[in-house]
Amino acid sequence: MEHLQAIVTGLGVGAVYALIAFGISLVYATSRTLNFAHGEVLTVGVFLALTAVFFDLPPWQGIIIGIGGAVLLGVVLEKVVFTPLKRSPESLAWLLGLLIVGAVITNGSARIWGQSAYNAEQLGIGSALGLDHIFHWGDVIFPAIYVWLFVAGVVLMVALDLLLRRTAFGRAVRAVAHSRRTAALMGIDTERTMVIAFGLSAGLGALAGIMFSPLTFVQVQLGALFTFKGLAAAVIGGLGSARGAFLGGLVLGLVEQEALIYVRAGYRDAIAFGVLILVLMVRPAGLMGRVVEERH
Amino acid sequence: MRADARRRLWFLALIALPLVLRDELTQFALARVGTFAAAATGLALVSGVAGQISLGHAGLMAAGAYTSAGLAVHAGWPFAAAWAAGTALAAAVGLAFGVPSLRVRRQYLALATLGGGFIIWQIVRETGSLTGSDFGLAGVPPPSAFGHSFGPFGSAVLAMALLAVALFAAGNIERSRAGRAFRAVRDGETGAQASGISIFSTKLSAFVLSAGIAGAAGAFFAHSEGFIAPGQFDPRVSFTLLLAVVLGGLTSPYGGALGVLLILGPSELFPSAFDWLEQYQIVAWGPVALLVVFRWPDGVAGAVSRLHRRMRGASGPQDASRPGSEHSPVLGASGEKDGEPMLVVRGLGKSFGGLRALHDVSFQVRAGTIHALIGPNGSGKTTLLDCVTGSLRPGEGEIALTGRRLDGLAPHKVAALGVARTFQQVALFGSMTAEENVLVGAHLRMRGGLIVGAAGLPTAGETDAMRESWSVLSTVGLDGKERDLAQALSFGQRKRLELARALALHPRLLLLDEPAAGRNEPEILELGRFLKRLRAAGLTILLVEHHMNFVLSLADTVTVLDEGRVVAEGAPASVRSDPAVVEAYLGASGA
Repeated sequence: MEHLQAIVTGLGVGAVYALIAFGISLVYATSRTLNFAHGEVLTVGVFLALTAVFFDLPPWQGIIIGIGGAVLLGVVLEKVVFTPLKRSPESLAWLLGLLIVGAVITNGSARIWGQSAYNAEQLGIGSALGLDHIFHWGDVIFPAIYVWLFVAGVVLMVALDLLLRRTAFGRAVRAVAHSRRTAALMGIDTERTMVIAFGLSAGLGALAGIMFSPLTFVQVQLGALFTFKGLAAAVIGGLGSARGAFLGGLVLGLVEQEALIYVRAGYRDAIAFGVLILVLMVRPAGLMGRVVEERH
Repeated sequence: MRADARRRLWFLALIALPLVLRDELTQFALARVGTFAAAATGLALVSGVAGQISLGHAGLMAAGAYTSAGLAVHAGWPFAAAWAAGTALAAAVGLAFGVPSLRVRRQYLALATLGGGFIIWQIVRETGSLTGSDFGLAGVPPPSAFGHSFGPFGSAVLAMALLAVALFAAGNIERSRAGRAFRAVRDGETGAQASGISIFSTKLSAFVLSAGIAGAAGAFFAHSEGFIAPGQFDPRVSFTLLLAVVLGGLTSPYGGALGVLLILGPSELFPSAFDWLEQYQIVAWGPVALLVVFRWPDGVAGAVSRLHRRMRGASGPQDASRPGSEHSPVLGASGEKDGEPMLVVRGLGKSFGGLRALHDVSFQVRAGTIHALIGPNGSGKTTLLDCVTGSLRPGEGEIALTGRRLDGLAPHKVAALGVARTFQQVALFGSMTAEENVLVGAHLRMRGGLIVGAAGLPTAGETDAMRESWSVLSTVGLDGKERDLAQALSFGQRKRLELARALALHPRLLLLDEPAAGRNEPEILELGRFLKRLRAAGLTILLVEHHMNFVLSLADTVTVLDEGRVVAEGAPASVRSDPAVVEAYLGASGA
């Protein structure tokens, strides 16, 4: 019975991880880099939405403001930090840049919103998704919100998959990822492609954060944790594909919940990192990724 | 050397610093800054010098700190024994920390090490009975020796001594044989392996060394503070350490310590003036570090050394250590009789995905000859070289060097058997000088590991190799470029430098991938004469080349590959008129 409960909770929590991972995977698909500031940007989106509602705007407007603010922040991130640092002679400058921006965002957010935990219920997402509605199968508890998060995960996965595989933007993304130079020579506006990818990624992140906010009390310090869970899910599933991100999220959620039957709850995040390191060691391209031996 | 003596004075001054700063709170802060600077020096070795980024070093400090503090508090161990145990355990954890670096690099390694640090941090928080979990572990006895406990002054002196030793060792290692291997792996693993450096042991030893230093710092920190808690080692601290290394200068062994001094120094040492800075460490210094990385990739340490050089001007004894450059032959005696098969390739096959790059390739390279491998683009020539040197694992067939199987051996093992190679696109170590590149080539001919390097002892074979490196550079035509960075050389010069590095291995078999590329006609003629001299001295050469006149005038035997198969073989004259060769190059004409 406890295993069944772990599967139910694992799929629900896993869908959350997948929702975070989509944005990370999209940025990776375009730039072959891990966005170490994704969770921080996402958290700002959630807090902007909450702030708007606090100032008596209706929840749907707050949600739009939150997503819009995150998109803007994503674009700024690309323009001001990422692209300039990609040109630095030190090839890891962008990584440090993103880590620093993450820390600055968290610190700045703490100035504005303080360090305390907020209940995001004012957004009305929780009641809209049936947060109070809980199914009981014997001893197994099944909150309705898990269903919606899972459905949202599937819908976004399919949409993102179609976007990357079937559209001109998707082709541009793949071309830019392969070689920014060559793509530019082929007439692709690489800067625009990158900006769209970062903006879309941040917006997706904020949407994800707003959707799962009823499950947790939001707190500015959680940004880093969201980043690492999202990175873990994206890497485990296989970077750069929406299906990989979704699978990675579910696997991470399931493994965490299953392991928690045997170890203390405080080890949950350590388990996530353990799985991540294991996947990096055994199958660096992720579960869905293909490893092809390359010529030198 | 004068520079060395001056360096030692600096280190002594560090240790004497607590004599000047008499205030107890300042000495307390000095101990703290000193231990973190030592930890950052450990990080600088692995992430800066060896290029293996770590975002988890606070976890290694925690491993040392909690081991030492736990043994002292719970088991009553004396300081020295507890500290040594903490250092040893951290070094052991460092071994595990380094394992992912064998599989993944750069951003993925950052993620993996972040995870490692995070896991240690969480273990500390969750094992409450031993570590005090989030409440911390109080009452850690201060550092002591022979029954005497050290107060703030003694702790500060010890911390500074720890830092001075770490800096001394790091500085020595960077210039030693082991440090050159670190830097070679950082700049290019392919080139390092071709010079006989084992990636496996280089990366792991860098991690163990670095973790040992970080653990020693962490263990000392526990005793000098008297109280430790998980918050002192959380993932943000790892990030601050990395930030310090970047700010101080990634490529310098002293960068980490300089960075810590900048980031922690003001708020720790002058709390009345800079107290407010403490909570802004990353926020305030982050953008500064970014600017530094962007404008001056070698950080504060690089800026300091440039300033230093400018102040001393041209009057300084710049080339005082120029080794005597004599034209000595650089070849080892190869023991094979001329004409006997040296390299035997039999039934070799290799596929990439569905593409067959090599199909049942067999040929022999006879000792003391120049053997050329020609064929159109994509015919499998470089793939064949990669199979011989072990950078690719062949699908079928076998490769033997004077009877010894090469297939299945790692590239550095193949190099150890006396096979040197150059690469089509050049695999040099860009941030190292031409001389150092050649010294890496002579890696296998020297002895001396990390301990010898850390102590700054001269290594056996090093002086010979140094003297020889200048004459090798001279024979390939790079006089006057000895102290230039490889990345500053032109393509043609880099091809020459790579040839020099290959010769420094004293190979029996030399594999050259398009040696004539980047040379004009007179230079190609000169290269031909040079290769003939090498052949006359007993060296066996297998070369891949497109320049047909060059090949036909030089080679004893030519093997022609087309679409992964051998289509012709023989003396240059017969190959030239072979219809299969003509077809391979010109297409099926007349059909």
